[in-house]
Amino acid sequence: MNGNALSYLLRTKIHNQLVSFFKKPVRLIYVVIFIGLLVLTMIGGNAGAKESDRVVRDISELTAGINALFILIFATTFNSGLKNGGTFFKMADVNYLFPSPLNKRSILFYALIQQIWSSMLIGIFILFQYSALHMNYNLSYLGLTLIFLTYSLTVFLSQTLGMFLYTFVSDSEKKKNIAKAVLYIIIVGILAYIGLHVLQNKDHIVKALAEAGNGLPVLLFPFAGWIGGFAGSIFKGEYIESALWLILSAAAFTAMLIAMSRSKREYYEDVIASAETMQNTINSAKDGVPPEATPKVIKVGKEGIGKGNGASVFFYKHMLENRRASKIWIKPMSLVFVLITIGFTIFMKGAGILPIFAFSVYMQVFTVALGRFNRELTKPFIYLVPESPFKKIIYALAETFPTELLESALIFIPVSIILGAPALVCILCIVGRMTFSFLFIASSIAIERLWGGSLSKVAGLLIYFVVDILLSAPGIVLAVVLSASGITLFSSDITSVMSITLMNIPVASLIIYSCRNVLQYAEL
Amino acid sequence: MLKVEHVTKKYGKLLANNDISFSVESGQIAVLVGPNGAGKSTIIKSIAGLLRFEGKIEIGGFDNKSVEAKGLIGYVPEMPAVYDLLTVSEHMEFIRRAYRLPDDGYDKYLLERFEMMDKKDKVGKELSKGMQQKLSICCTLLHRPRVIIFDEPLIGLDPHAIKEIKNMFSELKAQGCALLISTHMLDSVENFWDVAHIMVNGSFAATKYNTPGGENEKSLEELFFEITEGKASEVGK
Repeated sequence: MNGNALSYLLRTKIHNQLVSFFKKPVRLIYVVIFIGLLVLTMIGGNAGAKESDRVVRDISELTAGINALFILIFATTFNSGLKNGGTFFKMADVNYLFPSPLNKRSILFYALIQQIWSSMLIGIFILFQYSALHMNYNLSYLGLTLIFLTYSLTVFLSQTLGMFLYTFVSDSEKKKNIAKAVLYIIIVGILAYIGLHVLQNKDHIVKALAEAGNGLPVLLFPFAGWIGGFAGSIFKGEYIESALWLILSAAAFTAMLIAMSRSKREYYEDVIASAETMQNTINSAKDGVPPEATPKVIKVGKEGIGKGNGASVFFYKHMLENRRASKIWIKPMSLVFVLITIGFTIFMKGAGILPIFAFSVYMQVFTVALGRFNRELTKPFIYLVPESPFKKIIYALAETFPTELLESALIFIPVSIILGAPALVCILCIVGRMTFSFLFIASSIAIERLWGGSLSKVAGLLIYFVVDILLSAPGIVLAVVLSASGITLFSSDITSVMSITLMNIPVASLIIYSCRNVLQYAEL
Repeated sequence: MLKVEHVTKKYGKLLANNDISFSVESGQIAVLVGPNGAGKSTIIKSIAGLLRFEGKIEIGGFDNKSVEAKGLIGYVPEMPAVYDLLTVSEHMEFIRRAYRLPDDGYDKYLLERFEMMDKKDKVGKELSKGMQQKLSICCTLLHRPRVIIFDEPLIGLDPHAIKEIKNMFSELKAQGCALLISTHMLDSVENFWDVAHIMVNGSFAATKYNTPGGENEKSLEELFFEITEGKASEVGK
């Protein structure tokens, strides 16, 4: 009876999901576009360069990167699971399944099956990395599939372990802190091991990083290291070792499942709060902007906005919100992007600063979309305050300037040191990246002006990417033309960044000025 | 004070408001009643200047999207709009500065009246839904608007706050403000409305005035059920 009801629910959900593609053809179109882009990336990746021209990098760099990625995703997912419990259940599950006479173990297995699918969706971004991975490491389709599946497995296992431990520690803040402390100690230990290894091999930093990233202390990291070890040993052709890592993971997972299903502890109460949080996230996402990742306990500090009158108060309010949103004056997601870009620089040291600049701008597309201005558009105040719409836009955007300056400086000062680039190049990259933030904001404003709130979330995102590319095109074209005609000022890097910067400023200004009345036409 | 002329609003193919016209005078309380999905929130948002629409809306003789009109209007949204990272008193400071208002203590008066003073140092994220709604109402009233529109204002409020806001409605009316209140809870507006518009499928199905009429006249509730249960008939003044 239990099984029938839950399997009926699963079957019906899958059936309805499939039917929705035909009832709403626009969804089908998105899937077709998505598959098209994926195929393009796959084919483009193979056609990128002649096989004979390609310099294939050491595969141990890739396996070390896989281990690092798995540990990073494990640590963040596990940490979030420890804070709030699992996110396996939706509010409908909480409301209908929990009070029902269904067996709680069956409900748990039903949630686990659903979670496997969600974990795979989270890993889809990996498939789009084919081009770079094939070019640098000669990765095949099969290899990419292996990374995708092991990544999804790591996500799934870290969520399960997070939920499992939460049921034991949720009743006491002390127990939670102990669990967190254990995680941090393991991570600090691994970082110390990597740091020491690099210090001992300063002349070959990349090689030392790759060696340490595949070292036993890293591979022993629960689940993430084991799964990384499984994937890495397959790449190296060491199948017996890979089988051992897989057996270890499977045994630990089985033990965890047995402990969970036999545990007398009630997990229902533990997951309700996280289900509510997830419901809020879903509701906010429907408004176009996901909820802000704010600290659980916000430290108010000095109270009061203190400055500003009329439209300018939006700027001072945003600065106050930034101060409270993060202890370190930079959004956690931006900090991750900064670290990724610096890591990217270490591996791409020989390629010059331009690929790093392009990579940092690519990351910026996402951080700008989640900025204060876009959040402000979801509240009624910016529309209601009796000030000129243009003034309100300018002041609501002004917060971007110090935020982006800090973020760009955090990226390009260490990048310039690593690459040994001159100070002028560093400054130009900082300024150039800042102009891109204005360009991407201009893109959001143009979309708001043209479509108001009438676009669906997916369509809005797709159009945002397309408009970003269109607005960036003049600067990129100018840089290519100058480079092709052999015109250089100081150096080719400086010429390219300068030409992009010089084109971005007028393009962004023109768009923002043309859409100055956007607040009169926007839709909340 | 508030004039709505031939307003039509479409979401794609869906006709949310169809050629709506009405007005609310100074010192008048108008209510919009109707079932879920009737188009009440859409017309409210259009008046607040948050949606594009066809037709004309004037606040105090100014186009509703003009700076002058924005100075006159106050809007309480259905979902309380508060900032997660600002404290209650900072919300009031924000509105005071944004509307260039003097620091005359009216913010504290409103917070006291809605029993929010003990929460003044709490950030928006820490407030319950009802508290957020009360803060949203305080923010709306702070600049002493002349036209105030409320979208389901009583949902989530505790009995004391409901009593307080009902008293506030009467006071604002006495001060000459024009009030437009949208609700689907008929009993919440039974006593204090002057004119009621019953909305069905994006249009006004009936308009009823709260005048001491004859004994045979239908109550708002009777009329509402008659219309929404498919027995609509022309209802005059």
